[in-house]
Amino acid sequence: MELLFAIMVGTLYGCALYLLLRRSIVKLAIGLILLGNGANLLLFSSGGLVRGRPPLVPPDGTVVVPPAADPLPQALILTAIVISFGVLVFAVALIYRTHRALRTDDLDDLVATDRLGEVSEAAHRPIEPVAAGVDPRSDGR
Amino acid sequence: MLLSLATLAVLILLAPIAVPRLERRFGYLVALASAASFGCFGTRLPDLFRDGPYSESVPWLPTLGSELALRLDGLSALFALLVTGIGAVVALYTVGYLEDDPRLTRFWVAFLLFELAMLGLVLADDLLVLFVFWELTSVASFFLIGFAHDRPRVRANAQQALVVTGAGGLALLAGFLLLAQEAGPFRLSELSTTARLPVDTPLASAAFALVLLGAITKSAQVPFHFWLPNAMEAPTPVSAYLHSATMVKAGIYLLARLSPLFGSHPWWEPALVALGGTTAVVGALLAVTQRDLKRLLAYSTVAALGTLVLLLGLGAAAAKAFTLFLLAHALYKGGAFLLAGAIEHGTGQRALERLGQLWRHAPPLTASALLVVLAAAGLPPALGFVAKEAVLETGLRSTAPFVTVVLTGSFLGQTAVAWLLLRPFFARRTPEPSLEHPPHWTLLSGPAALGGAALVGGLVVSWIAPLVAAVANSVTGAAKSQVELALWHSVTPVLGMSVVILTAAALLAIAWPRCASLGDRLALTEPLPERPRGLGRLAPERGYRAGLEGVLRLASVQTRILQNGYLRLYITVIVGTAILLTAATVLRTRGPVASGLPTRTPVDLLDAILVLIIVVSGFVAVRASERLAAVAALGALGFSLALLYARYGAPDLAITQVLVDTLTVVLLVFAFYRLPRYARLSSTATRLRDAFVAAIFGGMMAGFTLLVFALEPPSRISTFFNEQAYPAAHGRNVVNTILVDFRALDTLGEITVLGLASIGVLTLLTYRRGERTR
Amino acid sequence: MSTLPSLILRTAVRWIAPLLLLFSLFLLVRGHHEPGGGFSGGLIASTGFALLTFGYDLVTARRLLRVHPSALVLAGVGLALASGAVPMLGGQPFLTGLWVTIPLTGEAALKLGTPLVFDVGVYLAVIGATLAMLFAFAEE
Repeated sequence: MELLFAIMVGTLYGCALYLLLRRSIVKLAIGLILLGNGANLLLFSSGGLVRGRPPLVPPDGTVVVPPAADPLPQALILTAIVISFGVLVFAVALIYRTHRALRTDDLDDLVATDRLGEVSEAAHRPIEPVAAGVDPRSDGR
Repeated sequence: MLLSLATLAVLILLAPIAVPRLERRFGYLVALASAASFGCFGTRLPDLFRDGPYSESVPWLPTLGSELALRLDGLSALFALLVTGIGAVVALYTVGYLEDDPRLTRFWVAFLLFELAMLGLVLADDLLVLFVFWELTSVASFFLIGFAHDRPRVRANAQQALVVTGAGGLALLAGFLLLAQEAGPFRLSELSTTARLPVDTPLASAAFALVLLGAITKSAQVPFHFWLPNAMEAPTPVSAYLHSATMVKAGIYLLARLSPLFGSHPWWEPALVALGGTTAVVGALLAVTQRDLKRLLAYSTVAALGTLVLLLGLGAAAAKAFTLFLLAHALYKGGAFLLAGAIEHGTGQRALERLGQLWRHAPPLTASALLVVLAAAGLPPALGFVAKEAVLETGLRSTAPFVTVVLTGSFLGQTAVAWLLLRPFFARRTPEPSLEHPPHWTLLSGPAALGGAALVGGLVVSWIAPLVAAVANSVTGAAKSQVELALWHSVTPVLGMSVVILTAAALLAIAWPRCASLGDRLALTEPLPERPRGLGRLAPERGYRAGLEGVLRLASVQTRILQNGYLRLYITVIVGTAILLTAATVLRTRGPVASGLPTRTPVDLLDAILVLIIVVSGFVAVRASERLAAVAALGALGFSLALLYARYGAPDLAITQVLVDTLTVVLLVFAFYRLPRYARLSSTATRLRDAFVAAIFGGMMAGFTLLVFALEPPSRISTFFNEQAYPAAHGRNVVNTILVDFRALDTLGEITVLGLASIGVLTLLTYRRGERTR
Repeated sequence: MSTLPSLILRTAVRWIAPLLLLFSLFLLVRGHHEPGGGFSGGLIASTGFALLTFGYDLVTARRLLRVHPSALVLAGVGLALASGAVPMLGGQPFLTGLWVTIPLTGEAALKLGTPLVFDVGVYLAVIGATLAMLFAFAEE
């Protein structure tokens, strides 16, 4: 079973990375979700695999009877799941706004930082707002 | 001592509320507080002379072994008296100088911060504390120089002072750290007794070089002297206080303080004598060619600072001369700056050649000017006279004859500057400049007080003797010694030299217009222009500019290369580095996972199916040509994951995963509905390359997971939770007790982040202004 | 949206949403001893309101929630902070668990403690944050 878990984690990480490397912002978001799941599984694996024995104290005892699943990774993952949900929603909102403002799904169309190279000449001019950042020279696709 | 610091701190906090109400009158308050501190330090002197140094400390940063330890010995007492005494005079003077300037609050906060920092610096007994205060003085000085921040030149010069002294501060920190490594964290007071360094180890030499660099940048020694004349853009009270009497002497203070430690280092004497000597001569030469009253005084300060460093380099024999000159210079140069400020305030003019015959218009100002000039020129009975005698005598006794030459030359220049202060009052000038208004009494009191003190100091010089002895003890590290001081010695060679210097300086002052035009020809009188000419081409300031430009160019190049704005390049670099490092480690250690695959849990068919679903859904999410298909795949993946969690003893995770997954899918359907369809954005080659990188990365993570399984998990923490969940946290669900009890702080942070994310989303989605419409 | 599925959805939601809310409270309360807790409870409650938003509309869902979701976040974080601050009054570190035992009839006794209050804070904060995001998207 451990080998299967390893393959699963590897697949999730690999797929996530491939999506993160795309230019499409939507794929970026999907990649983030996969990455989160992969990381959670890796964390879960670090506690070892114990099937069907959750870390609960039995009603007639005061301690968890081993063998039981490791509670610590579970607590970490539980927080991670909720946090990544928050981050994801924020990312999606950002994507949504970006799309509304710039009408593009292409990360390469967000070129405001490309102008940083010229800053040494224009250090005293204020940097123009990001929304004006579609570079006319770029064909976009 | 703590009380003085606390008073200043309270005033800083009070300033933003009080200054708008009291306006200029706040200055009286500051003057009063400083004067009270001055009084306190003054009344401690007899105890100090009798019982020796005195310490106070409160715990601070105990983990770093550092305490807010303060110590009052001779050297500290002298500086503390200067800081508070001149602080009081300058604060009073500022009342008349800045009047009701709208930026008064800023000024007083920075001023008080400086006074606090400077006082802390000279009282600190702990290296770390000293360093913190040292940096604070640089920061406060930045704000004070940049007071008139609407002028670009002022901003540039404030920045220059900050960069030069700040860079020196970094060197100083490095030096202190090396010192601490060599000798252990120590008190400055232990220097003379226990903490004897093996001084000529390479580490100690490096520490010495770094500390020296910090000291000479702060004290404006050649080649770092250029920031001081440029700092004259500050309001004149600031120039008088920071840039002649106190802050620039911080480097001197540090060297004096550390001289028991480094004094026996083979580099000490050559380095200090060379640096100080060069600075003393260069400063004097540049001073007499200036046209601007304040730059004139600034270069003369540079010369005086060089003299002080030179005297420190000469060691114990020069300790008495060093102390006297330090004290005398702080008094008369502070007075001279205040005088220059009063002249500028009255006439709106700072150029020496446009001023003259002010004695007709402002007799009281002329009177205080005379006090200052007599003190600065070092005529008897001024303290400056005694100091000059002592310095020249030290020079004559020194083994190297060039020391005498250097000292004489430097004093010639400095004395000429003192005589030049008479020009605004007595030189003939048509049209005659006039005072716009009679100066406020505080403007007169400043130069009069400091000049007067310096002038009569010589009369009561025997009172000063114990203080001088105490300072000399601190500098040399000796236990106790006696100093005899007198205003009048009999006719000695030194007296002859004094007379010669005074006369020659007077002649030089009369011939000043020629000097100034020579300075013009050599391009020395003006601040360094954009394209330097003449001797300006040799100015060390060009090095500073080139360095600054180099940093900017480097920043823009590295920004273009590293901060290129392409997310995928960043990710590729990060992941690539991780892969390479891992590969290197695996190759070097010949593979850590050779012990066989862990197969402790037998394969279960249902679990295998779930894993299969997850793997396939992952690929579907990657390959889907429709966004909604990808979202559906994500949904399937999430639910299978939840089932897997449930089967492996994590019901809490399963519930949460299912719910989050549901909400995610709903949300993505909502959001992606409006977004454009997928487009093919990258070439096949790029895709193949990315797939290749992703495959290696995935393989690496799979291997990592196997490794994780193969390692025995550290069970101590989990065992603790398993055993304590019920007895200590009264819960049977261990995961929940971790969340709400054992690690509740993390959970608190988490829900805060979640709340912030929701606010972010709200802001992003409801903010409508500035939207692009097409 | 056509009327028929909407009608079915509405009818279903009418019954399911209150059940979900009740279930969320159940999960919250039992979370200390059995699987459940503030996170899962909060998410269930949010799902209930999400259903309401689909079945009826945003206005109805907002009206039934009565308060602004951000206020819930604030209340939740505030409650969690307060539960942590209570032990500080007794000189104990922030977030120390304090428990009182209330004897009930017979053998049974009710144990109450600040960690439970903390969990309620988590519950509220999760509902608030999730719904704030959801409503913001639904409004677009």
